Amino acid sequence: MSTEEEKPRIGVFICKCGKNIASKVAVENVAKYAEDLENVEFSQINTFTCSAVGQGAIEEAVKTHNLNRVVVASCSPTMHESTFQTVTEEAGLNKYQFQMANIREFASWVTKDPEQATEKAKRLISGAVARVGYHEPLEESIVPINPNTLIIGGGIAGISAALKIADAGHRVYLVEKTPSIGGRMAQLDKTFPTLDCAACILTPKMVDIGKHPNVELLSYSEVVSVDGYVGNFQAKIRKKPRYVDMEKCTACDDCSDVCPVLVPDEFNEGLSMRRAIYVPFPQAVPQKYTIDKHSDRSPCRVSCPIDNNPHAYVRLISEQKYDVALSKIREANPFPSICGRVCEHTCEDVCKRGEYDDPVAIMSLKRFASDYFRNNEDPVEVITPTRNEKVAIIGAGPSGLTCANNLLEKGYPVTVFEQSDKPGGLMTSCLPSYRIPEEVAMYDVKRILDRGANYKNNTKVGKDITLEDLQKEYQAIFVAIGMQNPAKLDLPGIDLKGVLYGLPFLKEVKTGNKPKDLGNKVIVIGGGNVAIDCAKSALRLGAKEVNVVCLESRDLSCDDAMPAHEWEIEDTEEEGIKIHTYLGPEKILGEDGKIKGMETKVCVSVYSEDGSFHPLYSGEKGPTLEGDTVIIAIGQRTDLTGFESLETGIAGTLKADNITYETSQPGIFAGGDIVFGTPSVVNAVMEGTEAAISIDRFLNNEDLKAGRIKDMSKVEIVDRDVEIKSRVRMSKAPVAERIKDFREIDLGYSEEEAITEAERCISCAVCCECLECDIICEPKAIDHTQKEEILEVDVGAIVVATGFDGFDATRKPEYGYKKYPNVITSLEFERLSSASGPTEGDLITKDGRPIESVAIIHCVGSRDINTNQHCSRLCCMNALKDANIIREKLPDSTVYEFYIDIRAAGKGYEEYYQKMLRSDIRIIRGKVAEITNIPDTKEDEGKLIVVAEDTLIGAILRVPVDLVILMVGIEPKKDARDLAHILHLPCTEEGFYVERHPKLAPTDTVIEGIHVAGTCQFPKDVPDSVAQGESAAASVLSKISRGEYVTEPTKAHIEDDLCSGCRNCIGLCPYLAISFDEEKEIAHIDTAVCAGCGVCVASCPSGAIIHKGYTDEQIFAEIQGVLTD
Amino acid sequence: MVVTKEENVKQTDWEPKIIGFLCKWCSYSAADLAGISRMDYPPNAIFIKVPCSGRVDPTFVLKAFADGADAVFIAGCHLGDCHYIEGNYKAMRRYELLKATLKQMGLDERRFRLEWISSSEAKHLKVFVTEFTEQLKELGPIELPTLAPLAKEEI
Repeated sequence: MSTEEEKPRIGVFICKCGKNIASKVAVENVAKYAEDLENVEFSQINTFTCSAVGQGAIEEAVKTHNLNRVVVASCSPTMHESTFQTVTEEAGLNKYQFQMANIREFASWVTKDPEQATEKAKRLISGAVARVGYHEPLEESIVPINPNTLIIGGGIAGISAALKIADAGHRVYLVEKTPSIGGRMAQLDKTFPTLDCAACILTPKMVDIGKHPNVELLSYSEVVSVDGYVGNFQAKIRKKPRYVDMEKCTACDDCSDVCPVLVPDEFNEGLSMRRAIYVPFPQAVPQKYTIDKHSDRSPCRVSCPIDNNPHAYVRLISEQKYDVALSKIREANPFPSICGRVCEHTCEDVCKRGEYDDPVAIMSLKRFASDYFRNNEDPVEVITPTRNEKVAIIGAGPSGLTCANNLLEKGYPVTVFEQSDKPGGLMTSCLPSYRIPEEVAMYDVKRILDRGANYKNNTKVGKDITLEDLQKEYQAIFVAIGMQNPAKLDLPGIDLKGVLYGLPFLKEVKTGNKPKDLGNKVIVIGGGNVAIDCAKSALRLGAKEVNVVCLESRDLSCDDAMPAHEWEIEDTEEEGIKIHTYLGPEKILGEDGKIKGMETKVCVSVYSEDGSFHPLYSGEKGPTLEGDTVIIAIGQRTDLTGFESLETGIAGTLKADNITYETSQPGIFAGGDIVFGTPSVVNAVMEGTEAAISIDRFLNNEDLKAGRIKDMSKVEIVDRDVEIKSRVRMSKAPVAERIKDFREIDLGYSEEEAITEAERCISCAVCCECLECDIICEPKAIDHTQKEEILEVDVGAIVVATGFDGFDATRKPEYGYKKYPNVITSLEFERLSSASGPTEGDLITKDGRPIESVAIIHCVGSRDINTNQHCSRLCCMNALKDANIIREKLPDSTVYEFYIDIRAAGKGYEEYYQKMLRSDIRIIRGKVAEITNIPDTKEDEGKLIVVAEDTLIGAILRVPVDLVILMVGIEPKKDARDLAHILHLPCTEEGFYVERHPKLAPTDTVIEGIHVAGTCQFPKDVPDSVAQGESAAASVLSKISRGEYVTEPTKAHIEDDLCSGCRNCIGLCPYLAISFDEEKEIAHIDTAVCAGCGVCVASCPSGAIIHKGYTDEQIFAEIQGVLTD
Repeated sequence: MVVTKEENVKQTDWEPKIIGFLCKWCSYSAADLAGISRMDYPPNAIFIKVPCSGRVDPTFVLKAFADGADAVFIAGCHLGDCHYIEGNYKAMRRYELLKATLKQMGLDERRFRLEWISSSEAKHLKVFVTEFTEQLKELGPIELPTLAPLAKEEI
């Protein structure tokens, strides 16, 4: 409490607020009550305390009665606190020697019973009087205002605000999320009621922004954080990478001509497709191209072990650029013909398209591209070595040849040693011809050798030449000898004549030698692809019955699944081969040294919990199979003869680092099956690729490991509307024919089929990085390596003008949006009708039919308790305008409008409505119940039927139309709340930003220095958005012209003497305003940084922190005051 | 122990007294909005404006009970929406501690509430105050715990 001399002399001024307060609260009674409160010297009733008369009365009373405190009991302090503080100040007191009692919002307006309202008002006043006694004079501090302004959103509201501020001579940062400014207005065709073209009135303003010296346009950028306070905000802005150099781009459009990607065009509301490199619309500002690229690469690319780019080559095939597609494939994989047939294609397993219908047939498209050129011109480029270091490759399988190929490209002279008489390894010597004809496989293999590799066949290391010899002559060696020896089984009868092994069998078949005496019945042991190949080969060699026996399960999703590929198994079953699962071989039965059959045993599980091969048998006997031949195909074993100087790994493999592929001896690398077992061709290619990188680094004396861990994490890609369309099935040779010989089963795609299939790729990650744009761009503006930038700008004020999203009409399923193609939204109609739209302004249905009749449905998602309760304000006028346009463009058409109420409150709007009423548009009052495609009569077939009640005549109507336009409501942007969090802006329940006062401060917010404009605040039309933009600009300019801003003194302050130095408060302050003074051992608050939340005050155990304006004494007094009876 | 004197309640026209500490950014605005929207709710709750729910010192709550409040509530912004970044999280932690302390002191925990009310949720405020008042009418007037006279030998 103040000292005796300063004993509070309080004046209480009770406002009747006309009748707003006085009708409920007995003001006379309250005034009398107030007069009797402690320290109250004077009380008075005013009709409108906020009026000049009321304000004068306060000033007068302060002087007459020598008051030193003022209490006004009236409305909310939000409304008039500053008004009365000013009066208090003008009366000669400090403006903080004032307190308000909110008896209107908290009493008279919310309490039914007048007596109770009066009682509540008394309590509120008692609290205010008790509190104000403790009010001390406070000094405000003055902060300078930074004259720069940040405007978020480049629609018409943001543009209007930016131009006003910039024209006044101040700097503006205009941040726009999309590649161009213009916002929703740029999408509009015509504007009501004048029917002038939106682009014609908007684009000059956009151009002004683009070339205004005071506007820094930050398009394709987003605000990520805002700190500070009025006059001194620090904003961080993320400039998303455009992958195009803005300085160099001349907007010549060459790039989008060559871009193979097609995605729905947002600007045309998905009615047309655009390229990945694009300008959103012809009049875009800035006139610069942008590459739309997902932050992750497409899942197909990520999943590919060799980093191939299926997205690019599939899209290139869809654009008939087969040569580019094939060279893209060959960049990562020198075996397109082979991998186009036998790849395990993990890319298809993760294809986004597979989530809608079938994954894109990536492997088959790769085959198409390679077949196309194998059958056409495909010259080999011979490479002349540029390096002196020689490299030896041991083994001409996929791994060795890939390594050779890649090292040739790097300029190394490469020699390939092969122990057999032909290159290609298993690809050319074992893969059955019905899967890949030898000449096809050999084509890829020969191309590599023809590029300039020195090839030596029939040369076995350890026999014809030693590893040590090679080490002397070659600076680096890659060992990729594969697995040569078949795994054996220890079984009774294993030595019988007629027991064959998988790979040697396949190899022999491939050479064309038909193994003798296969017999009629063949048993194959094994569940992998080799076993399946053996079974099918046996069938083709004339076996009448083939049985495959394997330990694993046919269910390929379980843990014990067969290792063979699903599609291989399917083909096999189609050909009549039986697969016996969960069976192991027990004994091969023989008679006279010849095989008669095989006994089996039941297997219950194949792999142990840690995933290792550990079959368990139940002990039961399985069926006994008859057979003349048994082919064992249970895997291969290594043969390391000649490589004894290298360390070995598990199961007889060579030991090599799993990133660099370096063996125990520097300069010798190893990969392929000899190191990693027998996974697949594509894995062998990967190992060859990686080994080539290591060898290159080794020969350049570089770090072998740096930056080589591949990120194969799952890619999250947003869903899109996709029209269901199944995969183009590749034709196959008929079963009855194909099992007679070794002809290829799959026949390949025709050109037409390939294009249709390739077009199914939805470009889920948008840009495919085919780099075609980079090649074509003459000014060299493309930069696919661009990274995002974070800009930091200091501004004094912020204008938020982020606009709206249309109501998602699928939330009203009865209207059939997205179900019936000819039900469109109002924004889609704008694009359809626009001369720059997908049809150049021709009004036709989606399937290209002429339009005879149209229904326009009002209030879709608006004024509806199930969706949005608010009225979207502009749809009525928009609907009338659309009807007007349709009637102008199609004079013979019939247009129906279905409305609830017509709201035409605006200058010239009612007149326009009256004009439309007098036209021949059929305006029907009644909400539409349903839109269906079930016709009533034959003539209506193919039309949409609008079912509604005409409430003026009380009749149910069924109106057949060709096109339905849904006047979708206006909703806040989907991410409006994210920005609200960044700015600490309050939102309405729907998510619109809340203005400071609905009438008196429509573009201010509760946060000083942050303003709102346009539809992010609430639905409004173009003129209102412009007005708000300019209103916000005026608020900003008034602060800039003043140059400084008076901050509230209601902040925390530490009484040094009381502080114990416990540091409790320091960690609590979210603004880092509290520091510790090591010398005095006490905490200190930086008032400029303190925001005045009071969190530290409540935490101080010694009561050393004083919250000015909210001191403990003041609040205690208020509590006591309101509770005093 | 707090004892409810039911008969007293019936005899007098007793009304519960509630003190609410309202964050000025959200709940106080919600209360203003309730007024502007002319929502009708019981007059029992008196609102005291604080800059943030994190400003509410436990002693404010104790003071209110000591001065005769039958119940106290704190209303702040929804978690994540605090104007001062995280003041409401601090309020939430303090609330739990204080509630436990009050319970140990013999106060019915239903007399002390924490509610998140955003500036647009006037209806939420109205429903909350109405239901809280109803609940308190059932609980009856508070009887603050007093120290039992100490036995002589203990002194």
